Amino acid sequence: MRILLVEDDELIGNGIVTYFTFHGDAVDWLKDGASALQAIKLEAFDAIILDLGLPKRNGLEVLAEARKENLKTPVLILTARDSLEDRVKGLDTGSDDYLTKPFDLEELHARIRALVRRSLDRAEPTIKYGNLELDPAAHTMTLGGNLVPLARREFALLQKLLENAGQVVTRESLLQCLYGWEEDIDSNTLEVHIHNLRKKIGIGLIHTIRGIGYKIEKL
Amino acid sequence: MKHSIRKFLLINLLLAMTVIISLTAIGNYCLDKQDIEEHLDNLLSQAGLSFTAIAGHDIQNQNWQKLQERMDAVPAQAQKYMNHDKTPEPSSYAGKYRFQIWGPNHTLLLRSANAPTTMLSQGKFGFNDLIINNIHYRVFSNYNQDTHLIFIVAEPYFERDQLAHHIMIDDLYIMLLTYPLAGLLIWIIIGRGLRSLNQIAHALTKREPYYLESVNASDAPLEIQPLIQELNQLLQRLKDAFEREKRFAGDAAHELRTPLAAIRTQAQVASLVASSPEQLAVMQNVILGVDRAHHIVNQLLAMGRLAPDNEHFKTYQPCSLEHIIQEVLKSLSAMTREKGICVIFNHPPQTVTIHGNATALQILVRNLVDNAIRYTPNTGKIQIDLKLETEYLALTIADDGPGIPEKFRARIFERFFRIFGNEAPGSGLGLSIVKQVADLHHAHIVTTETDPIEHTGFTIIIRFPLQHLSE
Repeated sequence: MRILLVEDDELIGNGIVTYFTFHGDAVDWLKDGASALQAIKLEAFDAIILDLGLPKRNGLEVLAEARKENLKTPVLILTARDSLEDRVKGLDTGSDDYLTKPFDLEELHARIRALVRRSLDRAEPTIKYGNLELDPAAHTMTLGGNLVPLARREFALLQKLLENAGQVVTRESLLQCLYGWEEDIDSNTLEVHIHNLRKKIGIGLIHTIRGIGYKIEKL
Repeated sequence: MKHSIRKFLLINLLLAMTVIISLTAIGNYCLDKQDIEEHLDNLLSQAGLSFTAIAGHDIQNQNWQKLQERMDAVPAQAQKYMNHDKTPEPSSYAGKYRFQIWGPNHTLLLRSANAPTTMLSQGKFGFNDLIINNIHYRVFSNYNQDTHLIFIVAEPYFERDQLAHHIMIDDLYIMLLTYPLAGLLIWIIIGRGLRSLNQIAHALTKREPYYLESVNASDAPLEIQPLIQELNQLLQRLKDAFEREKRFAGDAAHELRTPLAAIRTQAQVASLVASSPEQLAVMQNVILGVDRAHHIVNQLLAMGRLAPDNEHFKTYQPCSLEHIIQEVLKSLSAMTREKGICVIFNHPPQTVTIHGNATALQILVRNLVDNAIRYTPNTGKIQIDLKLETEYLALTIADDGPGIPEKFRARIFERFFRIFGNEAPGSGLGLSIVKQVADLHHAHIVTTETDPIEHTGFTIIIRFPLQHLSE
């Protein structure tokens, strides 16, 4: 998943980024409201984690403006304000979930997974494709009932392609899904991951659309 | 000294009235007296001239001696007609004239019975004032040149002045009679004028102690508008101060939570990459510590929110304690199951409601049950009883734990009080919050031990009055 984290606290932001990256997600981390709004308008994310007390533009302003621009991405507000009014206001402004600090990283990750799943209109927590089953919570993949060990990025890659089955996913969005805005990525990194993935799940599943990206056919 | 506007106005208005009426009476008396003098002079001169006319020209032939005898009998005859009225109060002021007729050579020819024998004239004709035998007279005399007789009519001033005196005394009577009436009217009118003031005072006294909305001044008279405006500004300042204080609690909690979240997040990431079971255990302990600090922050915040000025906790509605207890038990069921604790809950068959704030009551019940679970050993028992007494609804929560020694029981409701050697995690605020909520509901708390023989177990009984708001 590609997550946008908007959090001005250095330690909290750092912890979230480390935890999510450890679980194979790409996290882009911004520390103020204005640049967050900029990023939301320009790029596509699977989910946004938004703090409320932010420099430049506060979280609620960012959220309100993004929703006005018809942003459909799920947003989770992560804040120290826990009063009932604050929570109601946050949800009414357009957030999909509300978590108060201090929080449990495991819970935050689970909530983000749930938000992404719902935004993709999927009811089941696992993704099924033929005899292949992907469990984003446990980070496991089974092929015909047998557990197939996947590296973090291979898993993320497969999940992204399966979630967009029937459509071509561009190289850029796949790379962003894996690395966010990290810049020192080797030009053939993606090919290496695809190659490894094909070795584990079979060659015929992922089609290369030359010059554009990759695609898994819709079943 | 307190003084009343009504009394002040009443006394001062009556004093002002007295001054004005007195001046009016004096003025009237002076003016009336002049008019009366003129009128009486007119009567006096007419009487004198009439006597002269009646006496005529053949006056030399009169038997003066006989006439004088008749004249002397007049007062007795007059008395006969006036027999119904013994007091010589003159009903006709003109009837008291003295007259004298003097012949040539200063011989007194005739006089009325009440006239003196000395001549009531000093030789000047027309109107005259003079004093004879210490009596001040008004005199009219005229000289008949044909008969060479002097006709004198006189009236003593003390009689003339009687009419003016009577008029003044009547005025005074009327004035005295108007006093009580004027006082009563002033009292009523001032009362009506002050009614709006009373209404505002009444509205203010009826307020809840922390209700700080501004007073509606639209119906108030112009004179007290500035007062109400000042009062409203004061209320607004108070409200702002309360608001700031409330915000401070929220801000402080916010500021504490963020670093706690940072520590927790970092500790969790650290335990994710921990290379040994020891490291993992240490990190888990850090997380536990953070959670405990978080609990204290939350309790502090709850305490701030429960302060009596908080709007949120002032809205009372009928609450069912039974329902609240069920909810709390449900939310804590994981904890009880984990420790294998058996919870027994007895309540009256019918639902009893008390007037209270559901959120606050939930905090109270939760804190108590949470404590009971914490201190009850594994596979222990917690007994919760809801009992209807004549004026109270009594909530009893009894646990199986070690109990609280009697010498500490009085202090357990103090903030941050913890019994030395107590290792169960807690903030030291739970029971003071319980006390705060109980006070908010005018409830009484009794603490005792569950097992009086073994001196173990903690039992708390809270009695909620069934109708405390109607008091």
